[in-house]
Amino acid sequence: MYFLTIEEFEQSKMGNLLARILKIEDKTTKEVILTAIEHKGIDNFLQYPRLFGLSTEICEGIEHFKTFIDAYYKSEGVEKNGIGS
Amino acid sequence: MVLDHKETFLKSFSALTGIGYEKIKEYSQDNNPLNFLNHPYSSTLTREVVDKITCIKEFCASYEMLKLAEAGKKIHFNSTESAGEYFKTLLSNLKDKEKVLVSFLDSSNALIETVVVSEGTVNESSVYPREIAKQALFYDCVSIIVAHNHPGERCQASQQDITLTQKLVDVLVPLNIRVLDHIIVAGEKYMSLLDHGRMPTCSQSVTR
Repeated sequence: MYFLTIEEFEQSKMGNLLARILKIEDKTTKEVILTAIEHKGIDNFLQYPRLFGLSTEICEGIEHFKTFIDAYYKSEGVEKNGIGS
Repeated sequence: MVLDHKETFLKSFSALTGIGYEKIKEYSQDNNPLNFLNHPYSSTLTREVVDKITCIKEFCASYEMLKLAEAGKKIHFNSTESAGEYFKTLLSNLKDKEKVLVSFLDSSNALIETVVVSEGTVNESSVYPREIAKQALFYDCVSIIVAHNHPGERCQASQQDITLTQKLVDVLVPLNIRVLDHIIVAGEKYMSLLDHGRMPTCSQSVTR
């Protein structure tokens, strides 16, 4: 039985979660996302989704996601118990 | 600056989940907007939106784990505290399932690799010591540290936890691989079997 490394496990999980959040059901698109995350890293993928030949709609969804992740972590760093409260 | 983050957070959260921006903004005037993420059931949201929020939350947990794993190549486990803090970061976010991790270490207790051995249900996951032994040999490690979370946040080792540790010790010690510790993460706390004097010794005599 092959154990996935944490990187492999989380990359695959993140790809699938992203597909669910953005309602991507097309198998090829999912494969593109998983491969991009695996080879380029999650940060690069979220930052430059337009480099991977994905549709404009999906790229915009990923860009919203990137904005959200950045804001979430900056907020957590600033104030763990509340954003700007 | 803080307000900028808040505004961006609310707008992107609204775009991702489909919850109206005005609704989120109004809620966040008197409440912590992170409640939407951490306690989605406390708000009047549809099932579909709650599912999306659950995915976003899981994504954030994976993101943290991945970041830590990327930095993990330089991690040394010098103490039970350093191991405890490491696994706490990896496992404290999981509230709905048990996950078992094993870190393989070299002779200076530096991390070679951490692998996910099992991800189970809310109170159970399957672990096969033979498979862990195979991986330990594959990574050519000198020692391992096992860790798992208790989603119920009970910060105590169960009898199954002790039995599993005993099995791992019995399989790995004859291969000259030490089981340094078994860390149990319960929410924001953790306990170390080693610190509590509960690490078993090999139940069979080992000739080296």
